Amino acid sequence: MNKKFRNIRIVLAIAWKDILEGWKNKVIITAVITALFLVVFYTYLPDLTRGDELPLMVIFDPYDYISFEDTTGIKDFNYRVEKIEQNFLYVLRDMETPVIGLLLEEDPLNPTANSPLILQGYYPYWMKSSQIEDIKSSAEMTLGNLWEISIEFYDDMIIVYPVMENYAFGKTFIASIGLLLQLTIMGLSMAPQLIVEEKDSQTLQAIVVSPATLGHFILGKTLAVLFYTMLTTAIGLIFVGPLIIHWGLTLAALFIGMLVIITPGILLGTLLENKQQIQIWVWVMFIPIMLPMFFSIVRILPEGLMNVLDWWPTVALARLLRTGFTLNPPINTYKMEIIYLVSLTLILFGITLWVIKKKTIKGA
Amino acid sequence: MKAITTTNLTKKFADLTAVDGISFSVNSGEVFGFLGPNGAGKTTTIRMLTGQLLPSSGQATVAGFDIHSERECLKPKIGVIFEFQNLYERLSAKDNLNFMRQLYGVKQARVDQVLDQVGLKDRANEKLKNYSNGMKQRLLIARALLHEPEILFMDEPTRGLDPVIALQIRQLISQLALEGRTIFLTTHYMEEADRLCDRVAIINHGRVIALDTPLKLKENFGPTLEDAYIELTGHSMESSVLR
Repeated sequence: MNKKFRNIRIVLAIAWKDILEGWKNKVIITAVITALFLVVFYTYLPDLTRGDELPLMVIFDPYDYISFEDTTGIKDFNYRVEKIEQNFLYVLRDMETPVIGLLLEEDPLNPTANSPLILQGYYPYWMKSSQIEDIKSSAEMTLGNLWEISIEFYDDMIIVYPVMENYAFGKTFIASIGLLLQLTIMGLSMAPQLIVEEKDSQTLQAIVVSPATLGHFILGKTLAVLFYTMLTTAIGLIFVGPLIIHWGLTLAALFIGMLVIITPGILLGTLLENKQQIQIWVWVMFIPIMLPMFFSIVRILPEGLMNVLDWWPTVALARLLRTGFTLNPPINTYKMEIIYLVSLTLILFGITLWVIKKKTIKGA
Repeated sequence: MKAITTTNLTKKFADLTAVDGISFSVNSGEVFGFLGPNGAGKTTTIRMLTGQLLPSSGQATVAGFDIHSERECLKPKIGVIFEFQNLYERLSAKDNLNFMRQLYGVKQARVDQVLDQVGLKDRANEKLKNYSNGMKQRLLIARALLHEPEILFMDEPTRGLDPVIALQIRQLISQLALEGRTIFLTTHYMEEADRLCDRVAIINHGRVIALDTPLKLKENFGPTLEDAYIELTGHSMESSVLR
């Protein structure tokens, strides 16, 4: 029992020292700021790139009431007409900027009564009520003028939530990529930095001659990186929070993601000897971490290769992160991802401990 | 009672034999000088005796513990002052010591005690970037003393210090010796070794070539310890320091 407490005390001492020192370390502060910038940038990217672009109106016309000519006069919106519900909902889920979907249940050009034409409105879940009110009244006016009838919307609006699909785009997908980039920056730059700095300044030798073992050292470093990553992620979540549907799944995915990214960072720090090597290797590792994500989005590679890429750790992690942004994701959309990523982390941590054991035996 | 014993202790790095079968012992409470030119194997020997490096062959015990199989047991018994100032520069002196205190499981009061002992109590909360070399060296000594080790390994503790600070450090070493601690000291300054050490071993090319009291070495090999050193190693102290 005493030995257990002693081990915990040593690991916490190493972690606390790094937490205390991290605030004064420019490299760590830069990593935190860069990571935060990325998550904020990606969350607000759609709004930033939107410019003067008009909001989108998607008209779901299952009964073929209107033709192309009947919509050409729409001025205040970009618009499209969908005949199939699946496509209609897909567009609404896929959008990154304000959008209104409307269902034509009656022929707007041949109204059966003098009463106003009542439409069913559809909105992405992330739109604020003020945005919904604005876009709704604008749509009422635009269509009313165009079709020369009085138009109203049902009070009950239909909120469209993202669902888990292989090919995801949209605001929530971009936000989850922002979170993933944040984890990558923190795990890959901070973890090796904290370890290599101790080698560089030879403070590691003072730790090695103390009761701390290299195992304590690595666990302490992992905790310190985890602390800073959690802190940065917590701040990042202030911006991403409004998009999250399942907090439990999001937090679980983020925690697994932290371990998945920090562990190779720790392994890298264990193997590298100086800061110059970190700069090179972090970039080298950034490519296999991020490039498969790009290919998983554009899907231009042969199907067999795409199937392999879908299980690339960061692609699987991005998928797992997305579950928190979707409505009632089925368990089969994240169960395998969790098992796979946790197993991968354990394997990587095992390799790290093996490397440390080898170094300890050598007395390196 | 022996604080340190080595028997045929050897360390090889690929084709290079850094330490070549050295055997000696250090008595408890003794100040033991370990002298030799650069690259002779002094630091490698210290690294083996302090558990940083495993020997290629041979045996050694430190504070009664085998350096091979009882490495974790010997750690609380030793304090190490490295040849470089490996301190956390972004932290204050007190934070540096607090970190080590937690590793060793030592009470907070001991931090103030050692800071007082090395004369840094008044500047304990200052960042190390404001510290002079001499102050940092004193802090290294404070760190090594924190857990009240039986044996202190000091690797060139006065190297690069101005004469006044070096004198203060020597006085501190004398004081520690008077407290009964075993001190294993490496230095390039023969006068320092002559003044501080009870016995001196001279190592060259990884082998101990002489081991005796400074007085005996002077009697046998030269009027001063420096003459004896040059006679035994063929190195002048100047070239040794400059290399």
